[in-house]
Amino acid sequence: MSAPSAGAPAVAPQRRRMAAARRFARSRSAVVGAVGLATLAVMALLAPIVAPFDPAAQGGEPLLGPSGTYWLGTDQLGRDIVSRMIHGARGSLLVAAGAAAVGAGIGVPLGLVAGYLGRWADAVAMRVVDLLLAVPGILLALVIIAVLGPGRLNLILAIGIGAIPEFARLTRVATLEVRERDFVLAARGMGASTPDTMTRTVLPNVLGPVMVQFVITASMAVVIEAGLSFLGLGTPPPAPSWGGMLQDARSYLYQSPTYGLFPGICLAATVFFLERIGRGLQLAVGGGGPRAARGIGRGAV
Amino acid sequence: MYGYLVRRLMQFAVVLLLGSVAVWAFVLLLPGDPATVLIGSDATDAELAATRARMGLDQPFLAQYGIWIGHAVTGDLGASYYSGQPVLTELMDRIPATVQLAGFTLVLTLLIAVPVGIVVALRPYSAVGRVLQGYLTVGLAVPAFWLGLLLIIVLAVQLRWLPASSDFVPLWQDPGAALTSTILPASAIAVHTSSVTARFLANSLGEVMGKDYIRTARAKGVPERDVIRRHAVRNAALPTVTIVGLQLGSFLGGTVVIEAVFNYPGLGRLLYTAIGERDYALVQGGVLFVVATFLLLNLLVDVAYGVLDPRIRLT
Repeated sequence: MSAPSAGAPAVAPQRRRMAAARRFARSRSAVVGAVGLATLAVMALLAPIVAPFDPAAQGGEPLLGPSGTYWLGTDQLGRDIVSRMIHGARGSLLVAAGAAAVGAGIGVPLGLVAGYLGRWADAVAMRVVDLLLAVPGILLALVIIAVLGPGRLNLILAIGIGAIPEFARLTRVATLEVRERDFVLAARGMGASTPDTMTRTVLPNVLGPVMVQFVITASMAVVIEAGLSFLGLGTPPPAPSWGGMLQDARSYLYQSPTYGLFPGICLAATVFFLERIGRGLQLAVGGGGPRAARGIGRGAV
Repeated sequence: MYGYLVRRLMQFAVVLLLGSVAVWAFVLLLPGDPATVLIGSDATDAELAATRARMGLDQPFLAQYGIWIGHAVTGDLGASYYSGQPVLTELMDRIPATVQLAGFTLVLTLLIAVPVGIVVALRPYSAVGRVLQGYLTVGLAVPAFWLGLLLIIVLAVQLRWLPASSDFVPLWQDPGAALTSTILPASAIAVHTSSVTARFLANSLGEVMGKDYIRTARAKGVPERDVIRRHAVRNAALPTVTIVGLQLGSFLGGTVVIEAVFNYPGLGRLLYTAIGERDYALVQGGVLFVVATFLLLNLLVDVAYGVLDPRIRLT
């Protein structure tokens, strides 16, 4: 009951996918999320065109309030806050997608091998996963950045490694569910090798919950990236980032109380859109159930 | 039960061992000579030689680990490069603050999450239910550290009701001051964690309400209030305990950013500062403490789980 996605796996996977896509499109909250995120992504892509000013140009007086010229005011160096917010979306979305990809790219094969092979492979993989789970995501990212050094790629790796456990656990459980089913046994019976069975027969049937987790992970990664940038260890300062802007806002709370409002709204909106998409996907592919909330348990920063 | 306990203890021991190896290897992964990395480049030759001897750097890796873990289990985690104090002393300084914040946050989380989760599950379409669902949506989306910043802007800067930065005042010394200095960071975190917990509780409560034993209880004439309290909530609460356990673990060292927002002297900020100052012995000790405590907490949750729910022991 928990995974109707694996209900009729042998028949017409395309039709199943179409049905899932239709269910997704019918869910209002999912569409709201998808449209919102798409808008953000387009703004980020077209930032140089959309943004009214150069995000680095120190054109105005410092710490102006919202006005006709500078819609949301200026920061401590007189830079336009709107433009910096639009450009900041780039880093946030890039790191979020990258970190989720790293987590899935390592976690899914790990869970697949653990669940399909069982025994030693399972025991070893799951103990590594337990260990990764034992370190809060942001602390793990801090330590990894200390080893690797700063930079966007390292940031993606640092956040992504913390996301491996959820992907691995979820894939493992889903793999265990389908491992002994007729269509898998049939594939083996017809002489498919173990790697072939895993990638061609088992993997497509566990992808639903993985997609849900991908979106949830991206939403956590946005917050962790902002937290690290807030601490000065995320996106390096000259480039605008929402977390970095919040750090600046904190230093000028008394001079410009509105500054801290806007980058946070961007953050919350991004998380909200991703969360809506995740819920829509979950309903569409039938993965997860209450267990899907597991990953979020570690998101507090 | 016995077999389950033994298996769970074995897993705990293995993961703790793995963790200690990872924490020890951390210093070797850093660029540069491990002894220099640990005590800093401006140390004298004599100090360097002493550290080398202490770490056994001329020995094989396995022996080096043995030396390190041998010191660690006796509480000797080396000395902080920055303050010269033993790492253990530095950690002990911050642990009460972290525990107090974690405790406050946990209490707040449960105070909000349990009633909200129950109402959302049982009366999702009532006026109150809709408002609370809105709270869950907002609570999930709003990052804790930004909410903390907003609370400071409104309550500390504009209204001046509460202090903008939160010093640590121990609860046993001055409960009132402890409350006012911890309430803001604790609320900022609890809005998020309570949303997660409440949604989880609501989901599992919704599942439980459809079970046959609920119908049976109603059919035999148990009053609805007792059906919910004694049959539904108790069963739904069990899986929720796991989430709360994970959250409690994440309060140890995982609240770095909140601590930075409020200038709160917790473990997270100690480790963040230590990383910035390249005080790696302190980082090692701190992370080892966080990992060990988290694993121990999880072990306790799982054992409690096994005691309360006999079905778990079989899986």
